[in-house]
Amino acid sequence: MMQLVESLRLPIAIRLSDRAAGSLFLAFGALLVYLTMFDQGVALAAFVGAVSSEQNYIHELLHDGRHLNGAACH
Amino acid sequence: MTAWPSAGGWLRVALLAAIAAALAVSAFDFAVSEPLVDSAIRLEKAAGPTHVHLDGAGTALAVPEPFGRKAQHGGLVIAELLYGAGVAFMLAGAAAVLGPGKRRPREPRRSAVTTVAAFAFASLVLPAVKYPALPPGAETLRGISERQLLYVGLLALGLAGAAGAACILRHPLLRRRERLALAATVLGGTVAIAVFGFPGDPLAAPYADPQLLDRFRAAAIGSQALFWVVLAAATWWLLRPRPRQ
Repeated sequence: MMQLVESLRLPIAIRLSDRAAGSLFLAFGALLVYLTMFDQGVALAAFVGAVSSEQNYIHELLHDGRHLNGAACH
Repeated sequence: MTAWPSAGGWLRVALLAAIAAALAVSAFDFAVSEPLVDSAIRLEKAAGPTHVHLDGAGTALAVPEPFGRKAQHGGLVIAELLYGAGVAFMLAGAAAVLGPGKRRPREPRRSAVTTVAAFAFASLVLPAVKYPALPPGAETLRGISERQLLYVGLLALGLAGAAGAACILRHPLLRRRERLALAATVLGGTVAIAVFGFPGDPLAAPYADPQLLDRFRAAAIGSQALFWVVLAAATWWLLRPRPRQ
């Protein structure tokens, strides 16, 4: 009987953990797309301070990709 | 039929496909798009400094640009790889959250290609129709925050429209022809909302070289289309059924 219960529970547990992992993937993917397409100095502000928004390091480095992917750049 | 992969399996497939797409697009951009970006930057510099940093009194500061053009050429590859990784995580996440389906099982390859098509509709088709890509030096009347917000709104609208069309295509009670006609109507309606419901964003002044503007936009659309086509094809191939060992 216990074996039967375990065999019923295991697939449900796997499905739930897949959904949880999928949610994390979605959030991390959105963060990467934000960094690539939208960041205007906010992401590095905690590490390098106000100079981050002045120099806009990520924006400037990924500049050509932003323009070619159709994101607003300036 | 291929078995439905786990979340990790989806991520592995999506990342490999995204790397292939990013590298293909980088090669295309170096051959076709980057010379146009370089021309646009030369044009922008010849017209004078357009992006100045101001001090508290509104005086222009001599702030050097953090990266030269050589670094930005390398940054293009980083941008495509990062963007590809972001899309891969979202593709794998969407597949893992949707799951294999209960009443009507989903086929992994068709699901993957449908999801890629939905992303392409939202991030390529709608922006190309409403807010086409701008080369460096082309300014519009709206500020960057407003333009970014409109772009995100367009992405959300496109994803909602594509998801609606995908649901209709899976509807069990409709005939194939009815499903196709309804899905096309939903996609067409989404484009109409984008065109007529979203505010315009015209150029602040006529661009100095209209031919360059057209060629840049064509290159940007070609670059993005190549990304989504390679991503879909590589995902399809990686998810092919394999004989059991």
